[in-house]
Amino acid sequence: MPGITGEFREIVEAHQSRVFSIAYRVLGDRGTAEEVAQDVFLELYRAFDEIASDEHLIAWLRRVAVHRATDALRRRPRTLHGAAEFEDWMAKAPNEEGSIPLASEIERLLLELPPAQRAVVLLRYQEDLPPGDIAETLRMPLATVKSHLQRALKAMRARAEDTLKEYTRHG
Amino acid sequence: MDEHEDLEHLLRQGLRPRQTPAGFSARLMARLPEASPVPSFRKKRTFWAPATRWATAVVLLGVAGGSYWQHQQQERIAGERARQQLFLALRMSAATLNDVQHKVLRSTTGDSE
Repeated sequence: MPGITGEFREIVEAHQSRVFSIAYRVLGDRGTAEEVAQDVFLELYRAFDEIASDEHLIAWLRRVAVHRATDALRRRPRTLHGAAEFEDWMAKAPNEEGSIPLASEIERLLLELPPAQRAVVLLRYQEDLPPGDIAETLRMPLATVKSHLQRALKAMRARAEDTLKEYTRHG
Repeated sequence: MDEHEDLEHLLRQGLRPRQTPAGFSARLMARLPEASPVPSFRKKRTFWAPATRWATAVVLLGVAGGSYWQHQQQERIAGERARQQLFLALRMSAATLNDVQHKVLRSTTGDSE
């Protein structure tokens, strides 16, 4: 079935970093994020005929990636909810100037949020979705999405006022 | 730019998609057959194809078997008819021979008297 695997490989290559990033930022560890991302694509492979268009494909991948990553997070023991492991990895991976890169700092802040807020922030700022589309993707009321977003931004701002100011000055 | 916009700007910058670990798609492609041999839209075709092949084979076998049976029946009937005709012919020949024998016997006894 060279036609099918060829087409599927193109889809994987086009969307793997999106799916992996969602899983990684929900979970906080690369190993589990890769497993989740692979499972998402295997699920897509089995449900390939349900996909009606490119837009549908992207929405499907976003929704399934968030849900599967959140499921994996629930299955993990509470002590391994990502933050500790992530801190450990980040401590070993400073950039050339010895400071923590912005992406890692943002990801650290994300992991301190409750999973539902984390998912909403990811879809808003990684995927650039408006709140209405986030509500549709997560099958969540719009008011809940807006409330999660406001609370998440407030919490992130409070936790990282100093570190993020540093990036604003440099940027 | 206010504080809120600053944070949103930083989030957009910081949350650019990350690269997948090296070899991600190769590992995924290697797992495809064990997950599902073919995507479901293909499965529809491959699911029905063997069934259609089996149904066609059964129908062909039925037709072939039926024609063979019919042919055997016709041969049996034709054989039976031929056998009866042969018996009739033999009976007729026997009767004719008897008749001829009687005539010969009668003529020879008539001659001797």
